[in-house]
Amino acid sequence: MSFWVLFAIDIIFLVLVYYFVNKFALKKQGNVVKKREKLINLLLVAFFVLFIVTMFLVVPPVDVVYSAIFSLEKVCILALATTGIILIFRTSVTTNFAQGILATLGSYFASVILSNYLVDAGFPVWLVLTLAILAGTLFSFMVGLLIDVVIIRNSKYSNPVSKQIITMGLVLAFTGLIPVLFNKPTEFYLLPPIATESLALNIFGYDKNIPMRIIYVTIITVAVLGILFAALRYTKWGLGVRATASNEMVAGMMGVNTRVITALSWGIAGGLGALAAFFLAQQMTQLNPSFMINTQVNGFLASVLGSFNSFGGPIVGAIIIQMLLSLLPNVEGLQIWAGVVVYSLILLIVLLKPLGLFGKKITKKV
Amino acid sequence: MRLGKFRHVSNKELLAKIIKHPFFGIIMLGVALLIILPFSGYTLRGALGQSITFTVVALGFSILLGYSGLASLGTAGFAGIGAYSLGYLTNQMGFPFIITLIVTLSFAIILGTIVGFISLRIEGIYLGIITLGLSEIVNQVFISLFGDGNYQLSAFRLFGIKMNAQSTFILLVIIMVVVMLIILNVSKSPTGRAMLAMKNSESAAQAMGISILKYRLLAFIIATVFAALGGMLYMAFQKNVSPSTSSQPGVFNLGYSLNILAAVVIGGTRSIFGIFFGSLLVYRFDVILNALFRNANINGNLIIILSGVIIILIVMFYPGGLSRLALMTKLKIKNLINKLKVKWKEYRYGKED
Repeated sequence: MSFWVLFAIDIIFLVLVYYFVNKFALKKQGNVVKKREKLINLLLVAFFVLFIVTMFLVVPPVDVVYSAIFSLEKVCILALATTGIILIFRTSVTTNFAQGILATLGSYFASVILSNYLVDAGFPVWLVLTLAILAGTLFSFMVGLLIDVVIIRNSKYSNPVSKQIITMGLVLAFTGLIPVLFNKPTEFYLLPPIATESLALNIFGYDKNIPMRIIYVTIITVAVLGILFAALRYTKWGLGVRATASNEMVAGMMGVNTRVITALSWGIAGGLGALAAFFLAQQMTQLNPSFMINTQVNGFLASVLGSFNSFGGPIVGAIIIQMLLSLLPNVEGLQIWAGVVVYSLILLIVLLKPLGLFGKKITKKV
Repeated sequence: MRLGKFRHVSNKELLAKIIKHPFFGIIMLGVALLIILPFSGYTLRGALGQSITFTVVALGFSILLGYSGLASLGTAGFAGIGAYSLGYLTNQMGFPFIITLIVTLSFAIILGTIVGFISLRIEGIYLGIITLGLSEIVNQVFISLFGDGNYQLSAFRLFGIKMNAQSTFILLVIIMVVVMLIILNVSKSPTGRAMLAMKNSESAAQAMGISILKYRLLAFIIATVFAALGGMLYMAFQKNVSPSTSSQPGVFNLGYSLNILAAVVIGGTRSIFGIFFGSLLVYRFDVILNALFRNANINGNLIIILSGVIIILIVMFYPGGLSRLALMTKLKIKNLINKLKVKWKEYRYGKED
């Protein structure tokens, strides 16, 4: 059976379930609105499960598993970038368009450090790479910190839109700055692969090779995000961030130094972006100033999908978006339309749940 | 007996009346652009023409941002629809320009209505990102249908006459002037005031009997129609678009929407002239500076940095944008002149006791 027939059956089934439950079970009980929300959540989860099952039915399971494993790398990149965006949004209440270019700047810096100082130094390969990644991340961290301290904090009349436009001005300024600062021939700006060997795997009786670099990238990302979320949960800094996120003014009154918190968030977001850029650069032959734009757009959409009001939701959003983007091209006839289908799905989900999958409603006062 | 109406109007009064009329400045801008045309070289003409197409898009966007307070990042998609539809309907179907215009604008109206309905459900920064997603969908459709490369317009004809760059430029100027007049009229009409009320407080506007549904839909329809028109003009002038993800101007991606937003904010969200100069500044500042100072040989990258810094400075210190800045400077100069006059009188006739 073709993918579209199964897909249509899925959708019709879910709509019917919603209709009947809504009509016969919910209407008779109290507190309908809350329960309807729960129902929609459950149905969405059911949709994703059904979708995966449909994929397995239509596409050979080997291909599904193989492309899922292959997409892990991109998932990690998107998750890192999205976390940066969300950290800045929660503390400064603005969407940072300069995230991508900041990350690009970091990766350029890493490549310069690498080819000027580290390649001929005679260190072992893993140390060289670690140092380069650290240098790029640190550089983006510093630039992010400076942006907050010098520009965002000093803007006289700040509201979300004006901050947004400041970050766009930064995009322009950095786009011009990169060719001026890094004006050597383009062959110079390479980032070496983390690992070149690959792992032979047996999936359902087929022999497939998986590059080791994907595994390393996944491990590093999980470690970094794990540390970050642990810090958010258990340290004093994390408490400060959460307090600032829920209400900056009250947090300031309670003795949280919101300036330090915000500045650090900008720095950390820059660092996360640089890490993402470093991983993305693994798939490219050379760096260019606009190679992070796509990741950034997907990061915004992931944040909306997962909700801007939570820290964990956007990561789930990132996983869903990137998995779908990687899995759908396997279906016959969808090779070039995968992007359209995925973005339309996101749009529909957000129309159903305007605050995102994990968003909580905040009551608005007049 | 009322004499006022039949009173003799002197030439001076008539002239003052004409100059004070709000249409005068706009038409003069158009005339000035047409006067520049014969003296401008290839680059300056290209820069001005592109800026004009962006101005048309940005004027529609100002109804959205400046009057209705709705942030949208989908401008690129709407403009792209205009550009590609002109290309496709002219190249493949062989339609004349007028029919293409009607088809494209009616499509834009449908799209604007859809986005307007979405905006009733989703608000604020979310709306911006959802419209960004919509624009991404449109962009992906272009890539799937027309390929990830340049898409060219074979020839642009108006009433059967083949248009060259000069005559297209004249068409652009005329359309821009008409669009400016329309925007001026809309903003001064009850519609514009209703939108302003909606921007300031939705609940208060509703309490006064203003239908949010109607005016949101209207705002989005105006914005999409002008965006599609701007995209068509861009295609007619430039004859070449591409959907790829580089950050070149005229490529309909996120950068385009952001630049439109920046142009409107820099110019002043509700100022027609401000938006024109904002578009010039954001898009083709480098070309214009190089054309003005022939021998300066300014590096393109330095100009990009400069325009970025100018955007940041304007937003940081002059949130009203260029129009506000011009107004403030005018006031300051007036004050200064008055002060100097007083000083001169004191010097000439001595201090009053």
